[in-house]
Formats: sequence, structure tokens, C-alpha cells
Amino acid sequence: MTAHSQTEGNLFALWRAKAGDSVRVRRFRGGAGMTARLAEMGVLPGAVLKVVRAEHQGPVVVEIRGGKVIIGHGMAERIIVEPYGKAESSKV
Amino acid sequence: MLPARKEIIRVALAGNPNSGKTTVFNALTGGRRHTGNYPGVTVEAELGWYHHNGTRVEITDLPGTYSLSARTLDEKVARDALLNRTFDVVVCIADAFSLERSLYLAVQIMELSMPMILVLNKNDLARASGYAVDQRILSRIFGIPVVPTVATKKEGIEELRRLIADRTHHRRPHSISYGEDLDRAVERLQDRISADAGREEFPPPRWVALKLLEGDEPVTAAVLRKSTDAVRLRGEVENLRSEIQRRFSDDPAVVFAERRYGVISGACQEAVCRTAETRHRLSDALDAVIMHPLLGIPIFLAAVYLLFKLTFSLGQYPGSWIEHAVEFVSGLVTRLWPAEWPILARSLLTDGIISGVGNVLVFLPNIGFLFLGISILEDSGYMARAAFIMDRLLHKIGLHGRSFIPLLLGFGCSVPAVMATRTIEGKKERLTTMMIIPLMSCSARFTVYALIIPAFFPPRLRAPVLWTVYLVGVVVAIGAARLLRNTIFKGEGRAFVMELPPYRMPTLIALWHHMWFRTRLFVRKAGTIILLMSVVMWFLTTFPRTGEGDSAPGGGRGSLQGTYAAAIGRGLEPVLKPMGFDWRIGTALVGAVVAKEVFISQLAIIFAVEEEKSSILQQRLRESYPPLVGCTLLLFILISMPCIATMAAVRAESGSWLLALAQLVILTVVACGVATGVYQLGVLLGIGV
Repeated sequence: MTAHSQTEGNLFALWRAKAGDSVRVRRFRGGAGMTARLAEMGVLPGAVLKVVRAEHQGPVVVEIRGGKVIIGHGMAERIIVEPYGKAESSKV
Repeated sequence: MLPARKEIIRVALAGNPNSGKTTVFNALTGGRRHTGNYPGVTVEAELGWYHHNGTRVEITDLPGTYSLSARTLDEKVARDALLNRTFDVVVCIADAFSLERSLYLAVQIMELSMPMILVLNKNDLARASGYAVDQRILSRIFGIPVVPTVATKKEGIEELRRLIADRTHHRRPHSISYGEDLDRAVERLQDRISADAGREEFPPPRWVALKLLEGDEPVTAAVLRKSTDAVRLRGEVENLRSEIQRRFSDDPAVVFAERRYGVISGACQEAVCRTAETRHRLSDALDAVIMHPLLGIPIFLAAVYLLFKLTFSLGQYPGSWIEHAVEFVSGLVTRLWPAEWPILARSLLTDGIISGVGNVLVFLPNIGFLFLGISILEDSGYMARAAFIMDRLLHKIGLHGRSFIPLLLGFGCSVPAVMATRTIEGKKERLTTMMIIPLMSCSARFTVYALIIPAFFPPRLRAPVLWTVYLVGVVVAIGAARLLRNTIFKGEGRAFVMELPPYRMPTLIALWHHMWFRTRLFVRKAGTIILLMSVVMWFLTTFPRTGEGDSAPGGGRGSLQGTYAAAIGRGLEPVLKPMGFDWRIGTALVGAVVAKEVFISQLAIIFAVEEEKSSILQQRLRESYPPLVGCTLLLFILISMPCIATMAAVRAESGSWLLALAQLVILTVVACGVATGVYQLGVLLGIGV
């Protein structure tokens, strides 16, 4: 594992991300059976997602591995991510 | 031309929903296909065939899935079909355009260690957007033949045909490595399984070991049932699973998925040369509008409105031609019927069988156009956007975006709608969706509304009343879904994860194919039952014969008084009265169990009106009942009794007669309650009496 991002404390649930952010998945919270489906779609710990759309209480759309995936709000609450790359530096 | 010896090669066609699988299927078979069942399961499958140098090739089109994890019914069907081991070779279609994602399914099929050919479809799109895939490298990595194709232009199809027909190219893929630690766990379990006396030769022990470690429920249950030493095996599986969990601090299923993607990434790094960054500029621009938080909803409503508008206005013409044709045939039989032949047989033929066939055929154009429209929305990529827009609403009632497509189909016909629930993840969500589908007013109900509403309401109120009826159905459905998800189908919402494919121009052949498949299902499932029940209804409305019926101008059918149907109608009067109905409506409702539109023909017979003169029937209704009864009748038709074909579909898809019957009883009880409430309130307030 290459530790690209050094920020350890800056973790948040995916649904809090903003459209245009790039984030990296750190881990899943809760129910094992539910995360397996995400993993199959390529949303895995370590994977970098570009958030295409994130609305209050709605599903989140992310870009991953050249495709787009809709993730239900309930699922997005369970995906713990950290800022990645450009989005991180643009905040400064 | 005749083949020297009859060699048959059986092929399973697998692939993601958006991989262009249907187009490959069509290109291979040249459109020669029929419906049948998947091996081992009674689920309709599309089968196609062709001949190549004297070899007959038979292709089974598996459901389009992203995975073989068997969490949706579609995946389970695909997996069970493969496990049934009737195929010589599996052809897996990957989308060269989004290769990594589509290889996930391919890798899962490789794990089954069956002979396999990998197809990289949409190769032109991939090239155009700066991807160059070297199929020779992929072929070397996975150990199986790899063919790039552009199925829409038939490129690469001949090569694929050649590989399929030649058994020397049917090679088992190399076994996938998940890294040292996991491989060791798999091997340990694999040895344990191989040693188990109770196990069969197939599926391969390595695959079984993998599924056990992943915690796959159906496989675990089956293996433990057959095992001669289930207790020790279970203990070992649990130990290994918790060891993986500890070491990788993640669920084993996630860890294995991660490793599969690792294998895929590695393969793609070697085989794919990226000349430019992929962009879907047009798709992104369209999404900015279509999935806009404010604009998205009106666009969605407009799309649905257009869909129904097209369905009903285009379907109307062939519908009336068919109606005329059925009348013509029926009239012809009546005129040509020799006088010495029994008149009862003529009545069975014209009133029972021909009108029964007519009942099915008249709806075919409407249903065909609706399915065509839905196929356009699906194939163009809009359906996934609609699911996104609807997810927020559906989430509130305990369902998710995936339930949206079956519910939309329900406005056409409940039968294919119930069948479309196969893609919904989570059994509770699936069953809940199935239960509320009949509340979406189907096209058969629409014809009943079209009779009743003009009979009781002035022109300016007709459209709002029709709109209200549809809305009431949706509102009751929402209430029912919430109730079900909080009671018998209580449970945490399952994952809603869905691919958002880039927009595409649907191809005509694929549209035709999807429309035809669904329409055929409707004819096969609903048609046969409607026909059968039409004959039963003919019996109920003809017997016992009073004798005078023979001389009646209708030819064997009098006013229905004294028949079994009327007896049932009369017997139901105590229940019907509080809703404002009498035995005549009751008798017609008995007919509506067969198919909703039968209500009209039954009513026509009772009021002794010729069916095509609906304005006279409407006048008779207006004279016989107050407007309030019109309201309660609309409500009752909307909510009560799914038709027999729907019940049969629910029973087939849920695997439970109990559920199908429960649906019938509950909906009818609710309908009685609502109609009674409205009628009594109306009488009390003196509205519409």
C-alpha cells in the first residue's frame, strides 16, 4: 500500500463529500453483506473515487475505473473516505 | 449442406447488462431464436442457434449481471445455469470501453474453471476514446481465447463463430491467484472438500472453497447439507474466515473482491495502452441537465408522460384493427356454421375461444409499444438516471431506485412487471415491490376506466378523475410499501448500487429484441391463462341452460340471469351492497378476475348491449347507478384482485402460492374497505347519490 495521503484524522462519510471532490476509500462501516456489492462494483478500500454528484439526503454518483456508479444514500453513509490528490490541495 | 455428423456445441452467453450482449447474440444467431428454460430452473431463457461448417451451435443468453454472487435473482439464475454444467463453452462479453469493470464478471466465471472465450465488445468505441487493448496479452494472462468485436457492425463475429465451433479452442482459464495468504486458505479448504466423500465432481473444489470463504449463503448451505462431516467443515470455514477478517480487517467477501480487481488491474496495465484520457463529454453534459436536482424531475415526468402518450395513441390503431378482425372472424364462423351442427359448440367457439383470443390480442399493440418505449429508455441509458431521481422517493418507503423499473412496467401489464423484479437486490425489497405492482393501473384497467368515467362524469371532470384514479393507486401503493417494510418484510435496506452507463444510441435490433422478448412473455404467461379462463367464464355464463337461451339472438347466451355467474354475483350481494353494487356489477366483477377488461364484455352481456356500442352501455349504466357508484367502482377496480395472470406470475417469481393468494385477499379486502367507506360517506353526506 502506498500511503499517498498522509492525513489520518481527516476521515468522513462519502455522502458529505462535494461534487468535484476526489476521495479515497479507507474502510466500510457496518453490515458485511452490504459492502460486498460495493466491492464488486469496484468501490473498495484504497480505491480513488471522483464524486460527480452528491446531494443532501440523495444518492451519490461517483466515477470509478472509467465508469460511473450510483450509490444509495444509506450506503454512502457507510463508506468512510479521505480527501485525495487535487481536492486536498485545492482546499488550502 | 447437411452436416456430416450431428455435432452440437452448447454455449452460454454471459456479460454485464450494458456490454452489448444482446447485439452479439443477434449477430451470432442472425435472429434465429426461441424461448425456453434455463437448464435446471423454470425461468424463461432466450435460446438461439446457428450452423457453422456443419456444426450446430446452440446459445443460451444468460441474464445480464455484474457478478455471480447470487444476491439478486438474475445472478442466481445465471450462476445456477452455469453450475448445471450443460454448456461446452462460456462466451463472456466484456465491454472494451470499461474493461476493468466488465472483467469482474469474467474473472468470476474463470473461477468456475469452465472452457471459456472472452469477447471484447465495443472495440471501436474503446479505440476512438484512446484505449488500445492488446487481446493477445489478455489471452496469455488468462489462458483463454480473446476476440475483439464490434457487434453492431458484425466485426469479429466470424472469428468468434470459428472459435466456438472448434473444440480445440475451448480452453480452461488459468486459475486466479489471490495472493499467498488467501491462496493458502483456499487450498487448505479445497483439500478438505476434495476429501469429503459426500461431494460431487462439479463444481470444482477450488471454487467451492472460495465461495465458502466468501460466506456465500446458497453454496455454504448446499455444501454443509451434503457433507459427511458438516460440523468439522463448518468449524474450519469459520476459523479461516475469521483469520482473514483479522489479517485484512475487512469482510472476506470484500477482500476477495479486492484481489479480483487486483488481478484485473494488473492484466489491464499490461494489455491496455492508453493514448488519451477517457472522457464522456456528451454524457457529462447531458447528465448536468437530466440529473439536475430541479430540472431532473420535470424531465422525468415528461419522459413518462411521453411514454404513455405514445403507448396509447400508437397502440390504439392496430388495437382497433385487431378488434375488427376478431369480430369479423367471429361473424364469419356464425354465418358459415351449418345449421345441423350444435349451436352450443358455436357459442363455445365464438363467445369462449375467439373472444378469449381477442381479449389477449387487443392488448398486444399497447403492451408492445409500452415495452418498446421502456426498451428505448433502458438502452439509451436514461433508466439508470430515472432510478437515481426516484431513489430519494423510493428510499422513503423502504424501497430503492431499482424498484422503479418494475413499478413503471406495471402501468403496462403487471405480468412482465412482476418478472422484472428479478434485478432487485434483497428479498424483502423484491417481495414488497411485487406486492404493490398491481396498484399501478395496468392497460387493461385503463379500458375499464375509459368506459366508466364518461358514463358518470361530465367532460370537464373526466381527465382529472382519470388522473386521480392513477394517483390513488400510487398513494395506496406507497402506504402499502411502508406498511409491508415495517411489518412482515421488515429489515434494513439493502445496498443500492447501480452502474450509471454512458448514454448510447439504442440499436434497432436490440430494441426489437427486448420488446419482442417481453411481449412474448406476456403472451405465453398471461395469454394462455386468459384464454383458459375465458372458456371457464363462458361456461359460468352459459350454464345451467334454461332452454330459452338457444332461441335468443345472441346464439345461446341470454341475459345471464339464472347462470352460475349470476348466482355467484347474487351470492356476493351482502358484501357488494355496502359499496353500492348490485348483482349485475357483481357478476361482471367475477369476470374481471380473468382479466380486467372482461368486466366490460360481461357488463355488456348483462345489460344486453352489443359490446362495440359502448356509448349505449354507458347510457344504461348512467340510468342504473348514481355517480357515487361510479366512484366506488373505479376504486374497486383499481385496488381489488390482481388478475389470474398476475397471480400466476407472482407465484412463479416468489415461489409461493401463499404470497400470491395473500396478495389477492389483502388487496380485495382493502378495496372493499375503501369502496365501502367512500360509498357510506357519500350517502351520509348526500354527495353523488
